Amino acid sequence: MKKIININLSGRLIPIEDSAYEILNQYLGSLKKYFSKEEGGDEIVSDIESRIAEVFQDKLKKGAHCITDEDVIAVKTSMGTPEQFDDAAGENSQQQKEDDPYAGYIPRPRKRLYRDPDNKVLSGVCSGLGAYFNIDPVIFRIIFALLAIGGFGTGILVYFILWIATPSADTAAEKLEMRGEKVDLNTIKSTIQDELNHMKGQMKNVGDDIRNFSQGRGKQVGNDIERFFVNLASGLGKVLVAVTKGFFYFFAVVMLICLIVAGIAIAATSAALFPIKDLLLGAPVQSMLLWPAVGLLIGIPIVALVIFIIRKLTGVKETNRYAGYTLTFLWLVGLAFAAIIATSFVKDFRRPSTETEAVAIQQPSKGKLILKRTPGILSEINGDDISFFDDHLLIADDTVLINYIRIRIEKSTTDSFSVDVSRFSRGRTVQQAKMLAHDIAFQLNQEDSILYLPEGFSLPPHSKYRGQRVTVTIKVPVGKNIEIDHEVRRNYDFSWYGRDEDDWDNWYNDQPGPLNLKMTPEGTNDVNEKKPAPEKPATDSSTEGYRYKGPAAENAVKAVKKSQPIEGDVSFLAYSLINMFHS
Amino acid sequence: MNIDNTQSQMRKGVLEFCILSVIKQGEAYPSDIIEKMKEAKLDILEGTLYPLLTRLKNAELLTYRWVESSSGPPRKYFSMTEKGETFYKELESTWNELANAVHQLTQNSTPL
Repeated sequence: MKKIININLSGRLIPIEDSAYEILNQYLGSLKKYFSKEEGGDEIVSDIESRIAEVFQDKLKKGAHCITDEDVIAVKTSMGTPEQFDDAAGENSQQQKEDDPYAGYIPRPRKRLYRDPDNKVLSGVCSGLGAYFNIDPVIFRIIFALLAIGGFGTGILVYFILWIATPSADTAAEKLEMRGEKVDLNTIKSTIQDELNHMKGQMKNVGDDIRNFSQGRGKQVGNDIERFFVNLASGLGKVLVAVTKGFFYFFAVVMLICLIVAGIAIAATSAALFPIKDLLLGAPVQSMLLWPAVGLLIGIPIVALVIFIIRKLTGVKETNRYAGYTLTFLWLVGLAFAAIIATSFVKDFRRPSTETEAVAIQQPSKGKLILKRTPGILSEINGDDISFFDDHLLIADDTVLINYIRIRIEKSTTDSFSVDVSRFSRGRTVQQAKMLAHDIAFQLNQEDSILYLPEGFSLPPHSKYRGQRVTVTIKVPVGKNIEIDHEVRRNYDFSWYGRDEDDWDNWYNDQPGPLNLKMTPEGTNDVNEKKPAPEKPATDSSTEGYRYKGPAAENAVKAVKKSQPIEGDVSFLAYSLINMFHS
Repeated sequence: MNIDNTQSQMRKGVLEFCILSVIKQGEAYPSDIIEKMKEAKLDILEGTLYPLLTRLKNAELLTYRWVESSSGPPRKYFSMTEKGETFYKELESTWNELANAVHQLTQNSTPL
């Protein structure tokens, strides 16, 4: 009959016979005594203990009820006794001690930021922070609570980021790492002591080398020198890696700052964005998805970068895969929202419609129509206006003004001046496009021979911007003149019957004063065409300067030529989209 | 002359090299190392392995990390440091030289 006792052998519960326990205890005692001479002896003994415990546990798993004398003796033989160690490894240990200057140098455990599940209130973030900084976690809880209430929810955001970024200290080893080593005078002293010992060892090594050299063993010193250079090279490599890493972190931080600034800017201008949002976005799906899309597309990278930086700062290597997947998924959702908005938005521009109306005008008395610009609408609006699309679009309190007006000069088929106004718009359906085109408010005024063009046209409140534009076609009868004010040339988009745009750019860029033109049967309309026309005397001398001056001038003009929207159905859409991204 | 002693001296000489070889193949837990050595019919006293591992670790040839195990307390998993790699390479070339030399000497009577 034997008594069975339970022992805790390096964390394992082992039921063991009383007598077997005695043998084991004695054996471990002898090992402890033996290894106490050696550097890191405690560690060796605890390793052996844990191995023995493992062997015993295997036995128990295989069905043994307890550990018997035989089991302990078997372990003892496979492990070996101190006497046997002496035979096998004694010499080795002696040698090792003398040769290795690093023997006394044990790196200290690193402290890491974990969540502490043992003292948690919510997820253990604050208790983990408390353990990390050696402060009462209540202080962190109060800070987070205050930030959550007073900081517009930043506390909550930071808390969640920390929650995702830091792992939970579940195992004993992680808990030790979480608490790390307490920084006090003693540990600092021992750190310095370690460093000094380490240095002393190195000095001794150098001394040995010199002695060796004097004994004619220069080869070894040569090896050492070689090793020194190898170490130096690897040191340089490490520096390079460190610099690269540093640069990468710097880049990450810069990117984070940029994203945050972008986020703040969007938040700040969201008030300003509301009108254009209502102006541009039609379908309810679009306005519904806009903010989620913006939030996810910009917010997720911010969160990811913050997590990345926190991980790097705290030295956490394990990545939380699910957090990564979730973030990626959310970002893709944001991208999908954006894609839905974009496709839906593009569809809103799909169908064009034009409404042309002939405007009755009085025939000018002197056979010369003068185009002037009405001062007004646009310049009257002050303060709260927002410009988009290269100032083509202006949003006032309740109206939208667009100064996208084209003027076409054509040859009239009759002998009188006539003016057509085409209102153009796009829309999701032809019906909608037609309606939007019809809604354009555009008014021409005439005073005798002067035709006043408004600066822009307006859309009714709550209307949508769908690439509306107005084309004013002025038909000039053969033999009659048209005078175009410099203001008009500068501010409107001209297309010119029988002329290409280069010439036009040349005129309005270079020449001050009014431009005087005459319609001829050939369709060319400049009275000052290069090939002198018989009608020339009819024009005044001030037009002399507008003439097209030959290839050299043409080249110069081409170089400064502005990119103009090309006529066509699709091009305007592309133009407005490009402009939208520019603004 | 004690035959056992000579044999154990022979084994002892290559023990470090063998341990490093096992660890070089990947992170290893001491019991794994013992198992592999037993598989290879290299009988050693388990008790000699632990001090050796500790010494190698203290010499910064090896490093370890704690890994949680499903049964019981965490285990030490050893892996090789850069310093250990160079150390291993030197041992390897020495071993190859030695093995060739021994082979040549023992096979001398019947040249290949």
